[in-house]
Amino acid sequence: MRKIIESKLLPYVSKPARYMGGEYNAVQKTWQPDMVKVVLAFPDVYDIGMAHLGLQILYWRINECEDALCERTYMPWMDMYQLMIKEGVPLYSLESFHPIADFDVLGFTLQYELSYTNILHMLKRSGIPLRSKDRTNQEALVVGGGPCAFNPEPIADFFDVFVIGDGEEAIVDLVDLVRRAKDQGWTRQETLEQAATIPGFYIPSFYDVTYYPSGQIAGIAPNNSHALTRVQKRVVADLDQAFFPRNAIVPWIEPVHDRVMVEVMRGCGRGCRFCQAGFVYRPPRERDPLLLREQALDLIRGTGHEEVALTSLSSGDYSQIAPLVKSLMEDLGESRVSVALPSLRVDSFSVGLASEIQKVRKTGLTFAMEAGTERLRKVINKQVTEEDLLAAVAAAFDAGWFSIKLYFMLGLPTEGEEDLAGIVDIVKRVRKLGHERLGRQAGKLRIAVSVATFVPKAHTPFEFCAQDQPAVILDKQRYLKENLGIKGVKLSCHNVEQSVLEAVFARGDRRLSSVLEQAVTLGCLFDGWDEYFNYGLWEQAFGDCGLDMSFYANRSRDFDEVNPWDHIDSGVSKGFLIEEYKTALKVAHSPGCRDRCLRCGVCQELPATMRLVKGSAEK
Amino acid sequence: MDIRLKFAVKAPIRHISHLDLLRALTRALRRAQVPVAFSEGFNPHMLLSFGPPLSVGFCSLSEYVDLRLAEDMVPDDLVEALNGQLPKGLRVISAKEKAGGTSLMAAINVADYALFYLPDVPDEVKEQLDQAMSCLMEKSRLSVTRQTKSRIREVDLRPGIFDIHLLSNTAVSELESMMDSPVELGTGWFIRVEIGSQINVRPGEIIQLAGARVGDFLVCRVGLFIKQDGKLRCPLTYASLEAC
Repeated sequence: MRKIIESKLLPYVSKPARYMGGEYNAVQKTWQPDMVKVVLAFPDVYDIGMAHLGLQILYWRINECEDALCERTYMPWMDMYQLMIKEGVPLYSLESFHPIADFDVLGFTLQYELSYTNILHMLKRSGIPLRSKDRTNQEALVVGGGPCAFNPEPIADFFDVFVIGDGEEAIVDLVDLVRRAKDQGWTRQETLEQAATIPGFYIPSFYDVTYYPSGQIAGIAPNNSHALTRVQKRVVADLDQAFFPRNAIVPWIEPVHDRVMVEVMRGCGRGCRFCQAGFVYRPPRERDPLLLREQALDLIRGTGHEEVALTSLSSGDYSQIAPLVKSLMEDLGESRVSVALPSLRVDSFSVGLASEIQKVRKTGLTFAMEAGTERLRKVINKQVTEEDLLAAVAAAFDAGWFSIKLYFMLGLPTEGEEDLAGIVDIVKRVRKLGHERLGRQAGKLRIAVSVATFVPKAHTPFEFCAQDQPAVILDKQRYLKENLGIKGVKLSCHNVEQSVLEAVFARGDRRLSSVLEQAVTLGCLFDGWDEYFNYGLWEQAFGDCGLDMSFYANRSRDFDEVNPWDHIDSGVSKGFLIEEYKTALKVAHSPGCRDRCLRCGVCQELPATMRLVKGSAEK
Repeated sequence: MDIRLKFAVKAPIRHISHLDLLRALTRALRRAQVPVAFSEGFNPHMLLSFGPPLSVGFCSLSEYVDLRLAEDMVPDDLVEALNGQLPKGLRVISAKEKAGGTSLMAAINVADYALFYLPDVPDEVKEQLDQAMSCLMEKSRLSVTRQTKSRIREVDLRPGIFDIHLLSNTAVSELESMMDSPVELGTGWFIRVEIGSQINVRPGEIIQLAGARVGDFLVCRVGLFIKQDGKLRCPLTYASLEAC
C-alpha cells in the first residue's frame, strides 16, 4: 500500500507531507500479534491535528506500554480524500501504513461538533460499519473522548465507548481492557460489559432513550446490568503525578501552532457561564513550576523547536506564572527559544508579561471582552471591566503594539440594543486611546474586532437557554457592520449557519445520528471550513429525517426537562447550574474557585480538589 | 566561520516544500547543538543560505546550503553531529569550509537530473516517450509557454539544454541504491540543463516537451554545478567536473 500511496497519490495532492508519516520522533513499533494496537484519529486535517496536545499525551502514554502500540491518522484533505476513493486506498495509519481496520482500537478525539461528519467519513474509508450495532468481534473498538464527549448523544450510535473526562489514566485502563479481551477471547458484548464497569467509561448502547411526542426526552435508562445510571467523569487528582510526554513529534509541515507545549494547569476556576471548558474541566489543578521547567527544557532539547507555549484555559491565572516565565526565559533566551502565553487575561499585568516574552511585535494581542456592557458581563460572569481593558490596551500601546484584537460574542442571554451599542462604544474608546498613545504613529493602529455567535453548551448554566434565531443574529451583525466601518477597525463576524449547527449538535440527542448519516450521504464534510460548509445540504438532511434544527438550537428548556446528557456526570450538579443561571438573570457575578468555594459539586463528589502551587502570583 | 554542506533529499522528505525543508534543517541543527550564528534584530533567525530550491516531490543527491557558525567547528564533526539528528530522508554527505565569496544562489547555474519511469508506466508508452526524448537534442528550437502573474510568454529552452541521454543500466542501479527509493524504478533519462537567472530549464518542461506527464517519472537532481569560463566546477570544492 505504501508504494501505491507514494507513487499514485502523493505526487498529485497539495501538501503531501500530511500523509507520509515518519516524522522526527514519531514512534515506530514492530507489530507483534499479541500487542494491543491503538490508532488515534483526529477528525480534521493534519495541520490542525498536529497542534493538539491531548492526542500527543495519549500517544506517548500508550507507547510507554511495552505490549501496546499507538499510531496516528488524520482526516485527509479533500484532494487526497477523493484520490483515495478513486484508487481504492483505505484510511491508513501514518506510522506503519496499516489500514485502520487492522487495529484493535480506533480512538477519535471529539474537539468540536462540526467535525462529526469527518468522523463518519473516516469510519467509511476504514471499512468499519458506521453503527456500533453492526460491528462484529473482528472490528476495532471505536472509542471517543474529549470535550464533546460530555454530550456524546448525537454521535452515540457510531461509537462503542466514550471515555468521559481526563484521558491520561483512563487510556491505560482501555489498553488493559483490550489486552484482557484479546487474552480471554471475549465477544464484543463481553468487552463492552467489562468496559462499563471502568470509571468514566460510557457505553451508549447500554442505554435506552425514550421520547415524548413533542420530541423531548421522557427518560434515559440503562438496559444492561453492567451499566450505571450515571457515568461520572474521570479526573486526574494531581497533575504532578500524571503522565506528561518529555518528547514530541516534529511535524513535517507547519501546523496551526508551531511549538511545543507544556500544560501549566488544567481547569479554570473563573466560572464564566457560557464556557463549557470552565465547568467540565473543574477543579483547577496547577502543575509544579519546577516540573514544568524540566518538561519544557526536555521538549525543546528533543525537538529543536523555537517556541514553548505555556498552555491552559487561562495561563495568566497560574499562581507562579511570572517566576515560571522568568526562569524559562533565562534558560532558553541564549538559544533564541521564545516562550508563548496563548491565553491572555484582560489586565495590564498580563500585557506586561506578554511584552516581556514577546520581543517581536508581529502578532497582535487578543483581549476577550465577550460582551459590550458591564451589565451583560455580569450576566455571563466575565469579571472584566472597561477600565481593565483600557488599562491593558494602554499598556500594550506603550509597550509598542500597534495591533489589538478584541473578541466579543453576539446573542448572549438577555442581550439588548444597549449591549450592541456597548461593543461599538468599546471599540471607539480603544481607538481613541490608541490615537492618544501612539501620537504620530497613530496611522499604524489596527483594531481587529472578532465577533462570534453564542452557542449554548451542555453542562453550563446557559444549557437552558435558546440560541438567538439566525435572522436576529444577522440583524445584530448588520448593526455592528454599519457602526464599525471606521478607519483602522476591521470587523469579522463568524458564519451564523455554522453556529446554528454547532448549537444543534452541542445539545442534541440520539435522533440526530440519522441526520448526520444523511448529511454525509448528501456530501457534507469539513463543516468547520467555510470553503466546504454547505448549509443547504444540512437543511435537506434535517428535512429528510423529519427533524427541526430550531427544536435543538432556538428553544429554551425548563429546569426539569431531561437533557440528552443528564446521565453524563461532570461533577458539577444540575442544581448548581440552575442557581448560577438564576444569579445570571439577577445580573450578578459569582466568585471564582480561587475566591470562594460555591460547592458546585466537583470537589465534593469527585476524587479531586483544587490544587494550587505554593506562593502567589506577583501582581 | 562559514561552512558549505552538501546533502541528499530522499523519500519521504522529498514531499515537503523548500520552506519546510528549511524548518526541518533548522530544528536538526538545534538538536545537534551546532553553534549556528543568528541574525540581529527583533526576530533572530539562523544564518543559512540555500542553493536553488528543489521542487516538491523531487529527490536529490546534490543539494547545498551555507551555514554561518558563531564558533568554529571541524566540518566533519558537524556532519557527524547533524546526521545523528536529521529526519528520515535527509542526509548530509559532506562539508567544507566555504571557499569563495559568492552565494550558492548566485553561483550555481547548471543542474543534472535523472528522470526515472515509475513502475506503472506501460511499456508502449515508455517506447513512445523514449523516442520523443531522444529527438529533443536534435531540435534547433524547443519552445514552452510560461505564465507569470500578468502575461503568458514563450521561451526557447534549447540553448539551456546541454545533454539528454538514456541512462545506462549500471547508472540506473547505482542511482537507485544511492536514492534508496521506496518505489521500484524503471529505466531513465539523464538531462543536463541551465538553471538560475538566465534560462532556468525545469525538468517538468522537458518531460512535457516529450509529451509525458510529470507523474510518469520520479525526478532526482543528481548534480549542481558552477559553470565558469566554459568549465563546470563543484560548488563544494571548486574543483573542475572530473574531480566531482
